Amino acid sequence: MPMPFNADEVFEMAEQLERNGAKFYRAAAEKFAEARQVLLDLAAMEDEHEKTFAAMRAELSGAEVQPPVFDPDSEAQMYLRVLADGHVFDIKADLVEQLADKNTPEDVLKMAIGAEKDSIVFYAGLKECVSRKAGKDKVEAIIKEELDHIATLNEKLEALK
Amino acid sequence: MTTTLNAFEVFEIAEQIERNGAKFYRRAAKISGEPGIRNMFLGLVEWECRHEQVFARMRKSLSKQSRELRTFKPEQMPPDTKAMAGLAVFGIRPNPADELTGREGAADILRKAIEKEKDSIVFYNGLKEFVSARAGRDKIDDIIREEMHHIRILGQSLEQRE
Repeated sequence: MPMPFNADEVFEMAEQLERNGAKFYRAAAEKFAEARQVLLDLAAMEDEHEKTFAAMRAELSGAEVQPPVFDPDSEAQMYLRVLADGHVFDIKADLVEQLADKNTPEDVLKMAIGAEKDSIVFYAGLKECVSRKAGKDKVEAIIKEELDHIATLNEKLEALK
Repeated sequence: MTTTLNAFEVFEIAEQIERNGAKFYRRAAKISGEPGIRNMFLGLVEWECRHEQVFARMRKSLSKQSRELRTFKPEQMPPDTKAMAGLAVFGIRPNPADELTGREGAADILRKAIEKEKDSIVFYNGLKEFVSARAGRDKIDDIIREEMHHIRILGQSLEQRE
């Protein structure tokens, strides 16, 4: 079985997701004036998420991702491994590159919703690997904010119809 | 489109998600040529049926509590009902079983299945906001973990085929 992730690796992936998200939103804001402000606001929120994950990583650096209270089969670890290996979504994907063939604000909003969904799917796994002491509640709060992002994007999508 | 949803509607959507999931996996099992992958899909059918029952019980329990309290007012719903309506896009999709034409290869079916499971995880994370600890929020966490397990086994199966 592959080596378990340590805290550094897992939080680095989370930071990368947020960085990719922020870059994507800023690039999208440049391309689509109709949705500019909402996209820039989302970029700013992803910046804050990145900082939260960076702070959590700094605190946990060097430690193993603490297993949850009951994970006898390392299910949470295996889940994160499957995600990291790119079969569920591509964590390393350059979302800005993918923006190139999106020609309407509707397309970019749908793409953004897909990316937010992927973040939630990743953070759901991350949450299982983080104890209360290490900041599980912070990860839960970020999941909730990403859900709010989806709501915002959907509202904007509806408004464009 | 509905701009807000109440807790009952949200649970109804959750039940529909699981029914659709079970239908999808039955169809996937039927069109899959490999016995190993067919058995995996049949196992997933059972999981989704169990999840549907959990959500149905929770919805009935909500309804019972409302009758007992006699103070159920729509305006007391959590403020995220609009957000939930946005998430409902993940729950109110056309019947996913209809998306399987029978010409897909195993890898295509697995990718579609993974997307469905992702949608479920996102929707149920939103659903949790509607449910107190007393009303069974931990049951939803259990279901989310089980859907993550589904993603794990589907992802590993896909890895073997790519």
